[in-house]
Amino acid sequence: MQPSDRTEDGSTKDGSHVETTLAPPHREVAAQTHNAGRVYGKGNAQVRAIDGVTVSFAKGQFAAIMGPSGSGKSTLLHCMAGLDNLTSGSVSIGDTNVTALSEAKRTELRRDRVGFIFQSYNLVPSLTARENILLHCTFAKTKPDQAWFDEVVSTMGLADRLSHTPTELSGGQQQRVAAARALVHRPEIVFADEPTGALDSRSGRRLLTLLAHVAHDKNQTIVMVTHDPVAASFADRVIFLADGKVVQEITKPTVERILQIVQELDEKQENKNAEHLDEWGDPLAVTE
Amino acid sequence: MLRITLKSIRSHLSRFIFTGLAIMLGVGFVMGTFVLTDTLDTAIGKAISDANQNVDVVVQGKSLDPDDTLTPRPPISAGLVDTIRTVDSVAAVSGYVVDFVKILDKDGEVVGAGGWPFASAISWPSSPELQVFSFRGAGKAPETSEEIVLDAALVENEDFSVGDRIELLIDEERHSFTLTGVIGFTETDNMAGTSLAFFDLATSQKLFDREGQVDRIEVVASENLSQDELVDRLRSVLPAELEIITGEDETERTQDAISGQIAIFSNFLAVFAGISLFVGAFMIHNTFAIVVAQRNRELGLFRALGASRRQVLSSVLLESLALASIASILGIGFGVVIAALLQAAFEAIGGSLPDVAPDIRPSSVLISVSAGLLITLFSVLGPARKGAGVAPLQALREEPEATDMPPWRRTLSGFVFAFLGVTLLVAGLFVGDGSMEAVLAGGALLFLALAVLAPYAAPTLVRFIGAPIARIFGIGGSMGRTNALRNPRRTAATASAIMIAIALITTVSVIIQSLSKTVGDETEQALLADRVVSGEGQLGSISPDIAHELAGLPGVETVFPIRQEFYGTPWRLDDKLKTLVGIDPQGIDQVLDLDLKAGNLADLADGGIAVREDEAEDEGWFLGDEIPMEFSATGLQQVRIDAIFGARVLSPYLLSLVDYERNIISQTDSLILLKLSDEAAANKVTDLLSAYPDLGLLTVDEFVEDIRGSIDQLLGITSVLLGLTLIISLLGVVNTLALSIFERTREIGLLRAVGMSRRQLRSSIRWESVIITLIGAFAGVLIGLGLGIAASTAAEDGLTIAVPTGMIISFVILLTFSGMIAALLPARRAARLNPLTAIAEE
Ligand SMILES: Nc1ncnc2c1ncn2[C@@H]1O[C@H](COP(=O)(O)OP(=O)(O)O)[C@@H](O)[C@H]1O
Ligand SMILES: [Mg+2]
Repeated sequence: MQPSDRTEDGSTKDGSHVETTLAPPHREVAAQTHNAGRVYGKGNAQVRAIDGVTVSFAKGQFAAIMGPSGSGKSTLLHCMAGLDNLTSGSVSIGDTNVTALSEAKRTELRRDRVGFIFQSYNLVPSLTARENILLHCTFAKTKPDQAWFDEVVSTMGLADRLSHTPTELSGGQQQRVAAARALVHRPEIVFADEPTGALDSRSGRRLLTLLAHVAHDKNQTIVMVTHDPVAASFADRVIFLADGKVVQEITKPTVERILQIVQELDEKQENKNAEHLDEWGDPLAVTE
Repeated sequence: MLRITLKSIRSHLSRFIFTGLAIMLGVGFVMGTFVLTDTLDTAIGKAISDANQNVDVVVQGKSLDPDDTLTPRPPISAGLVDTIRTVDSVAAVSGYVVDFVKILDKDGEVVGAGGWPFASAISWPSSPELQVFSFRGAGKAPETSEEIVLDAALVENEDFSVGDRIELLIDEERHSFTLTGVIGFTETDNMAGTSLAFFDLATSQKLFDREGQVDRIEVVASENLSQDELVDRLRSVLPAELEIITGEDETERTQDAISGQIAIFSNFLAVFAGISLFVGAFMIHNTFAIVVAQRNRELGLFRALGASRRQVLSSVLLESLALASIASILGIGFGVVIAALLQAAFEAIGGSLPDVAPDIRPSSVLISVSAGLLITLFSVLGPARKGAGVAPLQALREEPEATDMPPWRRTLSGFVFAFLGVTLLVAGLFVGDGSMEAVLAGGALLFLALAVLAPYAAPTLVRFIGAPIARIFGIGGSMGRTNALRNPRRTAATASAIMIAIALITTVSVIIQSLSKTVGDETEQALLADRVVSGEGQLGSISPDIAHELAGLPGVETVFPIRQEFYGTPWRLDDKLKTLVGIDPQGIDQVLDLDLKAGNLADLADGGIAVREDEAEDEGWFLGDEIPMEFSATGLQQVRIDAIFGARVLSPYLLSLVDYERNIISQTDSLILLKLSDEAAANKVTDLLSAYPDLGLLTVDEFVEDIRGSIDQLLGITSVLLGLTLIISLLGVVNTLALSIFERTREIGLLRAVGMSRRQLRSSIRWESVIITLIGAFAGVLIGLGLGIAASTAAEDGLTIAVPTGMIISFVILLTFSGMIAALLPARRAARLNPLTAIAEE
């Protein structure tokens, strides 16, 4: 690969300019990170899960984060959602600097201002769908906005499933309950970590359509981690991570475009590995 | 939040069943103790006030211990009855002779033998106003020296009927009367469990040596005079040495005396109820530790969705409190049932109580429920805090539960508890008069410390005890051992409950066995006599005439009566009540080795006393000192110490018979020691004694056995009560196993899927259970032996240590089987798991 393919300068191979990590001035920022870093472990076992990530998400945007396994997608999400602490840099949700918050304040942030959808649904088995959806409100001791609740529930197609317990629901339904839970308290931003990972493609597509709809029609910000190019293509924007760094991003993605970038990134990774081996004079390394 | 909590309980209900049961049992025992004792108290109190309802003033001799109703009072002149009758506004008056008799049933056996064999003998009231009972059926008052009236409960139990000859023993001598009537009170058939025999006054005076005397005079005032006014009036005409009190005061005093006895009984039961709750606490702790661990994901999710630490903490606490509330309410009901059953048992053995409803006081409910709630809260605090500390991310990553060994804080707190516990224990035992509360608190802390430190010892013990089991019982045995090793904390907590139960049983049995052996050995050593004449259960009240009779037999070389009332002959030293016995200083070296330390027993004949060494030391007395002794008949006397002896038999104070007769009201012997020339003499004695149905002739060995037997009885009672604790701790094993199996569902499915048989599975759970039970038993026996031996050694004057090895071994064997039984239910459940669904279960 040629050096010009590198995307750190914000340009892609075809020369078109991508949206900068800064949101356009006319749109409100829902969340942003500045030089965010998270190191796990100590000494030799140290892992830089994310390493200097600066991104910003505009209100009403449906963004996807992609990257190979272990590239730091989940870590970035957790740190932005106040589930985990950065070791360097900062995260803010709206005007609030999450990094500076105490654990108690971060708990309040998660409760009132953030929604989270997990890959494995994470519903409480003893509670009905309605009770699961209302957990945020329960913890906050607030009453849900009934109209919004009805709207979210009907959007997710759960109106006649509210009194069922998770075991009585299909995987797709369970994940829609989880999505409803992440939306019903009107959070400023919703994070979803591979929400379709455990779903069959039809249920997955339905959920993604719903998420896109919520983002565009209800002005809801959604940040979704996925490794599925089809899922990512539902988003307005895709950010690519590798080795804990943002390596590329595109807007108005298509499946083909995503696949292409994924492939390029993969190749780059392989080259890098090869170079790495070269340095050590690996006798098996093949020169092109 | 409350709803979520309640739902969570409902969905985990089966996990809480045993824990709920433990709380319920503990609360039930506490409540049962309260209800039973309050009900007895109320019922007996009512019986007493009913019996005294018409009495305005009671006149009697002064007692050494006015608050104790058993302590005898000197009789007073019967002429006082007439004096009182002439006093203004006295409406009625009646003088009574009051004493004890033993009544014989139709087979010639003493009624109530083995328990309390005495019936109250009372002379018939001379005034109808004072007759608070009435005849059941046709009957008439006793009028001649041949006639007797009995209470309805006794008559019904013994199947007597009016006209029957009734045999009874007065100071072991047989008398015979005709039953002329059967009486009962308005509500009850006897006097709150005490049987009553009525004679006419003259007969009573003759039978009980009260010619021209009465024991008690009851006076009724005319309408317009208050009790206090009547007391004042009587005081002005009666001799000053009499006690004159109002009927109300007399009722209250009698009730207080009974309440005091009930309180002793109730405290005794309460200690065991408390121990049950304490042991139950381990189970509560364990259950919640396991449930919280199993719910890590859920609690982590709550935290991720914005539940605060406090909310998670309080949800777990709330959950435990909801459980404890339900269990406590059931426990309250259970307690009432226990009390009713025990009361029924009391009535079945001849007690007749006024028909009072179970006395359920709000304070009893409050205390029982709070005990349940507090012990739960206390036990759950740790697990709840751990649950609240779950990282939110735990919900997102599958992290196995940490089975780490306890951190240093745990160790430190263990040692601090142990130190405090031992300090309290030692202080409670040896500082001042000792304190039961301090001993109990110290014991509880010590056990807590052991439980806290137990996880360190658990793996070693499991390996040690599991080794033979793994070797002998194959795959099941070795898997059982591995499983018991898996979570040392859980194994330790479960075994700790058993350890405590067994440690308590062992401690108590070592102490009681040592006490029994010491008393037995010392008695055996001191007794030089060949035979002992004794009443059943050493409750002999033997007429001095019998000793004289025995002395007349050929071959009887020495007859040595031990003069003593059956409840101990009281005397007063300042404000302390002590007891003494009367002996004949002449024959003593033939029958007793008193281990004389100073002085000469022969001098006793002449108005002195022999004091045991330890008492003399405690009081700071020396040979020749004069000590102030207040006697029942003669009041305060200065008595010289003529001898100091060491042997701990009979009593610390020995008076010569001559002095005893002069200073003490009633003259009965509790035992008669005999020196015989040969076996033929023994046969002659036996022949003579056959006229006295409650007396037996025992060899020294038999007598020692008898004494030891009555001490060993204590062991039986405490073992039964501690056995309840043991059952709760075994429930804990069932509970832990059941919960562990929930947790291992997947793994069990896997093992079954790859070919493990149901039998193997069941056997692995069985051996896990046995290992847990046995490490508890092993640790408990060790600790119990340590505590028991320490306490026996530290006891005043030290005890000869006796270890009830047989009993301990049988307990361990019993526990091994109990461990197997505890595994039955969990093993069945595990064996029933379908391998496929078990694996599929998320
Ligand atoms: N709690 C943790 N402790 C140690 N390393 C972690 C932890 N969480 C994540 N990592 C490491 O950080 C890197 C990024 O992980 P993650 O954010 O989960 O990646 P992704 O979601 O993109 O697969 C990986 O190398 C992972 O092993
Ligand atoms: Mg991930």
